[in-house]
Amino acid sequence: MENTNSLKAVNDRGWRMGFANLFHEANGSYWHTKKWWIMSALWFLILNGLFITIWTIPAKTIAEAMPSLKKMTSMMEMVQHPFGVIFVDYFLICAIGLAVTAVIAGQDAIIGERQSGTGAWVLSKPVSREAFILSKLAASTICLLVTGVLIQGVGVYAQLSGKIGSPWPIAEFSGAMGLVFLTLMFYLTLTYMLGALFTSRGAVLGISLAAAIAGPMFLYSIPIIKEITPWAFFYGDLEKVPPGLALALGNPPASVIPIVGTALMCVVFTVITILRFRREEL
Amino acid sequence: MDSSNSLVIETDNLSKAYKDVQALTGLNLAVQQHSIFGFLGPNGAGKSTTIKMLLGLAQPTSGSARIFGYDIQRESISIRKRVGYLAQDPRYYEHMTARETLRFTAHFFYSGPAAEIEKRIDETIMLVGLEDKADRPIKGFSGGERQRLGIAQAQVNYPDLLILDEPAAALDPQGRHDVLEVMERLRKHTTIFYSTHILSDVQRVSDTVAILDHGKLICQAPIEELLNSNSKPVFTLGVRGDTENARLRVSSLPWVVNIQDKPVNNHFSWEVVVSDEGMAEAQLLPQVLLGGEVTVLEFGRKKVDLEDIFLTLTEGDQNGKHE
Repeated sequence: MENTNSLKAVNDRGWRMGFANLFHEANGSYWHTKKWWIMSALWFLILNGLFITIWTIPAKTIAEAMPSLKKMTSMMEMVQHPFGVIFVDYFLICAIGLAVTAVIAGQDAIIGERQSGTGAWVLSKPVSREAFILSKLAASTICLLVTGVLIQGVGVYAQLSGKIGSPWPIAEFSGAMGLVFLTLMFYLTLTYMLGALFTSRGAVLGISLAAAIAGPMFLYSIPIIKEITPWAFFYGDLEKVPPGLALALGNPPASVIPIVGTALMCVVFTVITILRFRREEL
Repeated sequence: MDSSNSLVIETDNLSKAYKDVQALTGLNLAVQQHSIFGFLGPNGAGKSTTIKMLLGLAQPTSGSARIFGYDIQRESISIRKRVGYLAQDPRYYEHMTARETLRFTAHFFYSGPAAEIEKRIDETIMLVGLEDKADRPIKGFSGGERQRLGIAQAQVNYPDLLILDEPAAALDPQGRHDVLEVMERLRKHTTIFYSTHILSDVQRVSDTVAILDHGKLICQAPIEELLNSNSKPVFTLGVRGDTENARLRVSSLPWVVNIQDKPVNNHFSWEVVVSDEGMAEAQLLPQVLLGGEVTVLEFGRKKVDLEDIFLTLTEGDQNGKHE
């Protein structure tokens, strides 16, 4: 029973204490269950199924419509365009539907561990509270990136390129999918923060889902909201092309402020989560 | 090594309040290295609160504590590197097997080599006798098996201090026996600090005991000292017949402090508190039999156990009503 010297002690310091082990476990818990593969497959069917409609558009119509696609200056024009309307639908579903997935991915991370008692067990080991939060957040982020963005994006990109007979501008399309990812991160970090602030799962789910579904309604009544949330990425003023859709069409966004503002909000939510969880009594 | 250096846990007026409830008041504990320290108290006395503060899971309202000389608030991770902890109601990730749980726990302490870590896990599984259940999901484990796994995960880093919160409370007699046996096996390797309200367990395995009630420390002492310090000797007798005269005769003896009698079936049971044990051993029985009016059915020195001391100290009528 004596401690042998052959075992190499973990050398981490500060906030990294326990991070690697916790991340490995949290990451494994996503990929070793069928839940996320099934959810990913369902979204693939829905989102790529939406794009299957482009195969019904005659090649001649596409050829005629393509030059005008990049020149569009409003969402109104887009919804009247045979190709543009599919982009609008696709990214709207991504922004709202996948947001719900992000909320589901994040809602149990803190509350579940607190209520089940596993959080107290893990934190009785040499683990920093920052590592506890960040490892889960990193694992959730990877899960959403793969299942919500990469798998969905690759399928749609392949369909687009296949239909027009040449590669769709990859940088621009990746930029649009990047905004989908940022949207998901906004909801994920928001849900984590709510999990740290509230003890009720109902409150966490209720507020997060309300933000995802009803948040855009406040875009016009509270102007600052469009600068710090992803709600204006893919919808908003019909007279303009939202930044996410502009990127998808291969145009630069009119303003990067909402993108930077949303990224900052993700950081703020994460910092609040950590500060609150440091004081958590388990 | 002086006595302060051999202290593993030292608390200095450690206190904790939750809103309007004072859970712990001015706790001063000193736990010696290599002791099995029984932390005793009724439910709600503040035992788990103390343990959570020692592990950094809760913060003291006032006071301080040191484990291995490290401050529990500022140097908690350094403490947890050297501690193994079993919670009162241990919870693990249910999808894992026992072996996976131990591997997960071991990786908080060791980065390799993998073969050595696996060897350590095997040793720990053997220590708690979970060899045949090691690769089954925890979901199907009984309470006793979970408790054994709890001890295994607490022991996987061969800690210098094991903190066990009610390790045998939820177990059947066999499970309790097994857990206490494991604790006894570990005593030569580590210091064990464990909370319990099962007095017989404390008396069986502990060498030092602290009694907590209503969040306050009532006493702390080596268990032998505590058992031997209990006031005056008491002798018990079972008597039948005309006991009144015998009772008056014995009461008048100068070394008899008090007699309590109560009817039991067809005889009386006496508890005679004496001030001189030697005189009582030599004279009490002859004095009772002197008049020939009673028959003595049984006679002996009453053994003081921890339960008597505990109930006296915690005012038994309130025991267990404060959770």
